[in-house]
Amino acid sequence: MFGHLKALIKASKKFYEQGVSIRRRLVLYWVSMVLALFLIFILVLNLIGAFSKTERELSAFLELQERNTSAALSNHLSELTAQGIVLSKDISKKMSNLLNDRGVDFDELNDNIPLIAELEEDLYDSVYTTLNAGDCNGAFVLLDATANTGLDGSEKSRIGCYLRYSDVSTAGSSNQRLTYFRGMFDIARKNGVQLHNRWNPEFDTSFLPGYDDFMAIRVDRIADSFCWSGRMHITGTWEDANLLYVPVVYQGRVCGICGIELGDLYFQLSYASVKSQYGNVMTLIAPLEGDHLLLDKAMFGGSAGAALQTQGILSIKDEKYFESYDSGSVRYIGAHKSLEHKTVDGKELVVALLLPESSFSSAVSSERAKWMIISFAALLLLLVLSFFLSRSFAKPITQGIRSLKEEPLMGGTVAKVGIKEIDELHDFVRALREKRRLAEEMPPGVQLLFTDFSSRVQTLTPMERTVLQCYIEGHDTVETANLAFISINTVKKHNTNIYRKLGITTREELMLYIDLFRRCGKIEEISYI
Amino acid sequence: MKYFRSILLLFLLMLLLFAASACNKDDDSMIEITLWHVYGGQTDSPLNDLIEEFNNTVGAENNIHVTVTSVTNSNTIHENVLAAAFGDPSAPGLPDMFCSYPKTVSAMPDDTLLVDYSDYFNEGELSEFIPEFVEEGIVNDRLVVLPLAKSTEVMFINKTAFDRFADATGVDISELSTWEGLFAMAERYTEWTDEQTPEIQGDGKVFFVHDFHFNYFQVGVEALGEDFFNGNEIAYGPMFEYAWEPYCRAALNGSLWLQSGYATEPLRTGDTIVSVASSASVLYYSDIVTYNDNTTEQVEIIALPCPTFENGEKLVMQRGVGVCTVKSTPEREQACVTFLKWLTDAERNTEFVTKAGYMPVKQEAFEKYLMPAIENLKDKMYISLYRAFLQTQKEYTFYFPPKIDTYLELETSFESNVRNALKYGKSRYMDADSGSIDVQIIETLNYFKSCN
Repeated sequence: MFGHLKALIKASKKFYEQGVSIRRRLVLYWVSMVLALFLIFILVLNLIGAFSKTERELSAFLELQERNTSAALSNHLSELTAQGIVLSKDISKKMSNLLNDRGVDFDELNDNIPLIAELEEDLYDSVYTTLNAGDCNGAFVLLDATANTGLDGSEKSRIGCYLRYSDVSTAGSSNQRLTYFRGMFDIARKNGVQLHNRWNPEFDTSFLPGYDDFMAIRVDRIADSFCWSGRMHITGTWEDANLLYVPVVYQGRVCGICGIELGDLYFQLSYASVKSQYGNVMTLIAPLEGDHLLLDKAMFGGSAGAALQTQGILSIKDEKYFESYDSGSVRYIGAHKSLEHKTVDGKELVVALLLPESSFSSAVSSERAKWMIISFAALLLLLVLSFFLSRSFAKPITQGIRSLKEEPLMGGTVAKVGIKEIDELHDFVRALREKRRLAEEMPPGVQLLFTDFSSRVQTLTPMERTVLQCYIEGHDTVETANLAFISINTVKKHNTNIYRKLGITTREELMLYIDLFRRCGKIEEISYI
Repeated sequence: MKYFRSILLLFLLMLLLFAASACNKDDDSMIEITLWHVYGGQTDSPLNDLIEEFNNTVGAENNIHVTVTSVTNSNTIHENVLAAAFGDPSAPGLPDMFCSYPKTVSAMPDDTLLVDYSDYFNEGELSEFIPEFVEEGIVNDRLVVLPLAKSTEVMFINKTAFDRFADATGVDISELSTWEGLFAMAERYTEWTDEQTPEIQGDGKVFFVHDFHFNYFQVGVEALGEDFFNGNEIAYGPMFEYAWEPYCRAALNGSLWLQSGYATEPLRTGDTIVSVASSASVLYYSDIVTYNDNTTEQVEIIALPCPTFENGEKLVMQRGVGVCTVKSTPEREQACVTFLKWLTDAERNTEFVTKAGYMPVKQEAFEKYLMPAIENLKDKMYISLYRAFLQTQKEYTFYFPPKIDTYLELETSFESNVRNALKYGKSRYMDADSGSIDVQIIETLNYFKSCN
């Protein structure tokens, strides 16, 4: 590893020794500035809480939803309870009228089929009215008597009347379908009502949660004595429901139960899930036990596919912005509030609004992702801008410098670049070149002498040029004779010709010319190679 | 420029990653599709169990959740679908899928709001279905009703009560194989039950209930070789009168059930002992008869093929709704089709239909899965039903109702008018002396024709 580090340091040193171009340097400066600004931007966003905006928004949204839903649900349940209380009083009155007219006690209803038939006929109208008036899918009354005490299991069989809508999705529309679920079938036929496929003439109380306890309560005020069964299965059907129990009182004691049915499907259709940007928010009513919601007794609103199981519990925990609800396998976030209603086993009913934590998390991360994308897009934009700006800044500089180098080759002058410093450098270098050129040039008269002498040298014969060359190389007459393989006399003869042709008279004049040529760097013009 | 390009590439990659993660979350949201069906009515529903299985398996894998928002019967769905289609006050909106007969589609103001399944099933997939069933689902050249389960009309008999009657009077169950024999026995039964309470006159019980009077005539008349329809109206030819005679006679004598409602009701309360109903009503028959004094009787309910006329062809109505899908978005439509393809898988289809008194709709089901499924049935009523079903398949021809626009209207008004006319005729007959029954039969027919 140290070896790599050393190599890196060496390479970067070499890099700097070579010199960094203007453009690259500029890009580096731009990039550093942009990155620094970006980091500051992120820090500021974090500090002002831009990233936890979603949690706060959700908390506000949940609070609003909870307020609205619990208000709507409370009203709904209160209305149903009010109708149940009216039904109870109506039944008590009708029963009282009938029994008193006949001069019989309540217990004499047992085994008295004609009397039961008459009573149930009266009950039918009351139950029918309650069902029509109520925002529910069923209404019923059950009385503590039976048509045939001699049968096995008759102590669990109770007379009454139970009407249900057979098709919940059309309850309230012009196509309601009423079915007769419990009661004597003659009454159904008289009133032209269809028998439910799983009709029985009497109630089986073993399927009513908390029946025995409820029948044994002491009633001071009916309005204080109602409660809910909690989720229960309607025997023989595919439906679950929550039943409202209101006591029917006769001669000071509880002699029956009446109430309404709030079916599972009916509840789902009445309280559909609310779509939000955080996911689908589901409504549910459940009994509260400590810090758990009991799911096996809960009623679920529309869930848009995020189905909760109807078993187990939801453990509640307080979090910063909302509450969390853990079923063991799935976590939800939301809020809950008491409905001021109780179940038959004394537990408080609450309304809870739940949102799957996973859909919320993905909403949060997609929000974050959005911010990231925007930031990185901005970053990229700035980086691209940096590149382009650096390029357009550096281009005229590098072009100007290039033209400086190319000028002598192109001839003429190049236009100004427009950058003050470059233009000044340009002028300086141009002046310098001119000065040098001028320094290098000779006076015209002197130039003529040189030219004349050079052309005279060209008129010498080869041997004469050889001799001249020896003199250029610094040899005397004797050496020249030896080098040229001629006699001294011949050399002297050549000298005379040379002087004559060159227009000089003495050896000293010749040596002077040679020296001048050498000093002016023009010796090649008279050399003989 | 070189490293500029690589930075750009790196950034695009990051962008793609973030965009992908953001997009993925949106795609994770479930598609919830709603269904109205008829399998179960007010009882435990075999289809609801199957839907739960879908939601937990294939549905979960494909982010599809099927929610059942209504379980009723075909008549109720007719009314609800038309109410929604016509925009009746407070009518619920149409669900994504609903069970339906072609006659409901024909009565809709605009059937183009239904998906054409040939856009979603290729030729190979469609050829897996029994061709006549697919043909039945084509309305205005579009395949809008996908076959799901087929039923027919069968005769259900409270054998326990029948045996009591047979032991006392010597009648034989084989006489119920013809309409003539059935109606004759009906009168005998009313007389016999009246005789059981000599101190009370005229309290003879009703013998027979038919869920579909319209079908008795439609199939009966066609089986006797005459056209039941004349264009968009009922023909009322000689064979209609032939079918009317024993039927009206029984009604005037108090042997035919004239109340509205399904046949299961009077059988449940012991008010009748023989019925003709859809094979699918086996889900609603109970082997317990309950009387007004709460006493109950465990009975044996058996099924036999639907009666026919002595000189008529062995013809019986083909019933059974299919499924329509309402047009919405391509994703929702595809989700519905995914569910329907799963549901109509040959083996699964067989498993479902045999729990509900239906026959499957694919060739492969009949060839491979139906017999083993029937052999595995435990409930005696179901075993009896499928024996009757198979006998019907072997010996009878299935009749498919014609696709005329007024079919549903004709059927609905016929059913209520004929019962009313018979009640009217019966009460007039009770006032006159019994010698004029033949006259009353003709008068009741004329009265009925005038109402219809």
